[in-house]
Amino acid sequence: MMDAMDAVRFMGSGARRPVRDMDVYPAIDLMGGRVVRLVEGREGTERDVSGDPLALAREWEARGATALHVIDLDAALEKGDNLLVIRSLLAQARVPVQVGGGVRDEQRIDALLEAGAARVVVGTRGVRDPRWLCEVARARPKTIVLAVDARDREVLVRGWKERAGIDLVQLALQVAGFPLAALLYTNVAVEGHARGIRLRPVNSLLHVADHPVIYSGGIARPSDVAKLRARGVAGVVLGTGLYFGRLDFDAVLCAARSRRRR
Amino acid sequence: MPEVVIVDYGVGNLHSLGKALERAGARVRVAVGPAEFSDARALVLPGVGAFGKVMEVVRPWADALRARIDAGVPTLAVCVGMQVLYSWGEEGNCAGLGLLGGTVRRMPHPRLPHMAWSPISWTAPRDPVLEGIPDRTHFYFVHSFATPAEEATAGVLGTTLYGKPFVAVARRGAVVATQFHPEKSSDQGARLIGNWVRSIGDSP
Repeated sequence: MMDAMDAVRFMGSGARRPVRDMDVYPAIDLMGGRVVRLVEGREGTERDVSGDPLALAREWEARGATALHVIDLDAALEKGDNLLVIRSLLAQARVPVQVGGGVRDEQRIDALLEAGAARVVVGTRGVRDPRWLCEVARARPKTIVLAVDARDREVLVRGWKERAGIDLVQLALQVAGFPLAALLYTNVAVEGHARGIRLRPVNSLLHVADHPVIYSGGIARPSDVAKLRARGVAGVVLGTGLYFGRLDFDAVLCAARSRRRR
Repeated sequence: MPEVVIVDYGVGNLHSLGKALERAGARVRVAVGPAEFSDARALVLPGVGAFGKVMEVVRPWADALRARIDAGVPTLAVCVGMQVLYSWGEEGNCAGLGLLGGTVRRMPHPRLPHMAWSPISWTAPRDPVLEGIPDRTHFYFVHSFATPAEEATAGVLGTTLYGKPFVAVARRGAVVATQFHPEKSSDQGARLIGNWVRSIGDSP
């Protein structure tokens, strides 16, 4: 079997990604029916964004978002869920919405798809149980997004509390060929700080990934987005930078697209 | 307030489209089978499911559906709802309703489904349903099959390129069909739905 570094050398040479318009996903992370932000995914660090997720979603749509990223933090932390809010949000949404957080079985995946989710984000179980992930993705091709949360390249699971014992690049190779919609890479080391991104682990991932890559973590300025786009990243999830930093959404849209549209 | 009737094939969610129609000022009723839609003043064929599956459900209703549509009832067909209006579908390898001429084929592109915001080029003089929507406006698509533009016989209002040009919007009489999802296409999608809902009032 080819080891990860061989694969980087092998695929890195030819695997240039086309530069296209990126999807820009404002993050709506739900806890107790409210929208919050966590720092590095730690409980107790939450800061309030909005008490009205539906109004916030409408606001992003009005400002030109072409997609939304909704995460149920309570479900991820195994402390209940925000399913009712998510259902209402999906019913009213005028753009495609990807939904995740605590998605560990097919029942939940299908409930979210049935409620109108464009894609469902699977994390811990997908990382730990590739066979399950493969089956689930085959039955619903191009609708499952695998969330790969990592401290740089060290993959973490269970709300970023445990090491998965696998490297980002190894994991990307392991799931190559699965009919996933995308890999969502979150660099936990910089997530929630809005102080800028680290490109090295992203570059490693892009060299080997067989899927579109969506990036999340630390985006603080439009130039971060432009750099990711130039490398062929397919989308970015924005959170703290938008809500608590100085990131300007219009400037991000400009950086994410070759020209202004609509 | 015009009433629109969404034909329910029993697969997938109708909330998004229903909400979008309501926002445009329509009253929405969901109908299963001809008994429930044969009195419809406006019909919607939603974009959920796959060609073969939808035709399995719709085939017994085909005559009733055609009768409504031929009677000039304004109809909005979205995604697979549009596809089943064509004569034949490669997905499921079966006949469609045959209201539009052409075959719905697997798209000649290595990455399927085509899941993206893509710009549409209008091919016909501006149809009322497209009023206020500029050329090259992006709409949201999720599909692996489409009717190649070169094969569509008539009624093409707009095309998009993915592998090859395919039909993105078509009209035949009172039927408007979109391969994209207007209910997920933000402001301009809402505009198209609004134009369509307003046009119901104008029709006899």
